[in-house]
Amino acid sequence: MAVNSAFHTNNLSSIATERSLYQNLIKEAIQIYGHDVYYIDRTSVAEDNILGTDVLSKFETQVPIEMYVEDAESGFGGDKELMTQFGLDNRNEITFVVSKERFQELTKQFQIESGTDATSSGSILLEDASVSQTGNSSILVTTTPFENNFYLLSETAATDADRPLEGDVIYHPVLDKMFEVGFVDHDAPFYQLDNNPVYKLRCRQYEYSSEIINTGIAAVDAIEDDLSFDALLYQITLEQNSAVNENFRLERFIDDGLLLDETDSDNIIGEDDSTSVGVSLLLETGSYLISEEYVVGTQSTNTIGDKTAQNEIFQSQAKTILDFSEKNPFGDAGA
Amino acid sequence: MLGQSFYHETMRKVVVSFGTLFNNISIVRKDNEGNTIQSMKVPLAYGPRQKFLVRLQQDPSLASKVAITLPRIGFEITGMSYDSTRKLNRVQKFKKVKTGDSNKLEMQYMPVPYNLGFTLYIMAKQSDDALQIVEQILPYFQPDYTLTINDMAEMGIKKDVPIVLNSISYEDSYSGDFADRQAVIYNLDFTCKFYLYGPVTSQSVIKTVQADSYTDLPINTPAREQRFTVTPSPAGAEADDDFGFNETSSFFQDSKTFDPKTGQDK
Repeated sequence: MAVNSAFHTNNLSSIATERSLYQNLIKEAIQIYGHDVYYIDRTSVAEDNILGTDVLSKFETQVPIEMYVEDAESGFGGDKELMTQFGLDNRNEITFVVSKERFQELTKQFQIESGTDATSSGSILLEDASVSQTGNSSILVTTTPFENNFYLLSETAATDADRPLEGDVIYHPVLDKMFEVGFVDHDAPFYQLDNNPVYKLRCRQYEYSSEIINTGIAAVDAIEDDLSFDALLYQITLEQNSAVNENFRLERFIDDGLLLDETDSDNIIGEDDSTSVGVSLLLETGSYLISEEYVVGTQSTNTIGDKTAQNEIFQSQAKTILDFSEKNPFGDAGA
Repeated sequence: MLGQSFYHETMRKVVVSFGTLFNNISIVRKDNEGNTIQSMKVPLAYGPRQKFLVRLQQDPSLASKVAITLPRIGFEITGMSYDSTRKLNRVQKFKKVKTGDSNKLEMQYMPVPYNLGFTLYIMAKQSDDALQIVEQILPYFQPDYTLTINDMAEMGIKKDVPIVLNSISYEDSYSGDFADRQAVIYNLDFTCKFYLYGPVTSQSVIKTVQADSYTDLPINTPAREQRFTVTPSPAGAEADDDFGFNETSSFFQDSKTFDPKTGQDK
């Protein structure tokens, strides 16, 4: 008993053209039935080699790619919205299907080395008119056909190492939600033509922990703006908009309004750093001044982050409940 | 029989006090060179809120992009039990001059000792965040931490309320299916030793005490022979004044007796 030679060569693997047809059909189906989503890479910053975590991992590079949502007849999978002791928890789960070939095209883009240009999203986009975008070159490939953008691609053949990675996130603009890749299913459907043309990304809605998000996509970057509890985002910075050593000047000035050093009456000037613009005010102790806008837990519109937190509410209510008129030998909490 | 309406919000005050203990915990995140990159206050909330309020506060327009923000702390009341080891004499009373009416005295029986159980839940995405939070809490409890609470302000009573850390449990669902959610949750069980107060009643201040003495048994309907009267000195003193007493003894031979209904001798 041997395999059908019309579909297989030398009884080992399927014919390349059949594999290619199978792969292209799936790619086209995803492009028809799927949506453009943003695949956002996680950048590891400070991996803890003891506890095996990275509390500072951030998201700064993204690429748009089409994906198909699998098994969505009854909405999201998972437990969906749950009430827990921590409030509302959206335990939505979803499975994205992405063409392996399309994804690997994206991973073959030349990336800007980390730190060389913090404002770019990572890959090198060819400028209009710098090359003919009408011709098809073996190394000039459009990766976002709807926008007709062209990128430089590496000639190195992609491998399964160029795959979606667990921990990366996907932002779906239609659903307006961000999902974290929990597991990349690489073997379904199972080698029907001796190849697997898709990755299935088992995702759950992202649990945000004040990570730095700077992708250049306004809707995604708004997550950090709206939900981050990082107090250092609320540092008071100097107002100068150019690199100058500027005198500290009183807002309602007396005489010339400059702050003078108590010892020698010299003018007090900003940090002696001609390269920094809008630097933070650093106290002598090394701490920063934090704007009064950093308020956690008032359940009002001016509170930052989670609107259900009650930190400040407890603080204000406790003023009439806790008594500090006498020294407590067992503790000195509060106030 | 028991239906005298009163509510001192004692347990509400205990909830606020317990929450205040943990409302100012911050964590920092450092890079591998030890530089502080992020610093944040950990949000805290009382857990058992009405579902619709939580839904409307956290995701009113169904536009929540993320599942939840972490780290965070939640807590809830887990139980309540009578503490017989702190039982007080039930017939003793607290007394206080009524505010705004010095001719009245407010009175309240001794409070009843109860233990209120709390569980504090700490959830974080990374172990290091959770460990920072837990490490900032545990050293204060040996195993108790005592707060002074104005739990009966109407009577001017404040109590030292020990909050005892009973146990700590820990859950990190790191094993299993990769697609499953990993949660790092610490549960800290506390007992808060507080008191519950009964109703406050008020009565007029007694300004005259009069005792009549007789020389025979009541069955023989005797008339009073001697009267001992005590009044405050000065006579116009009010309950919250510093005052002394006038003691007067009177002797009678008029065969009259005192009528408590009319307050007259007949």
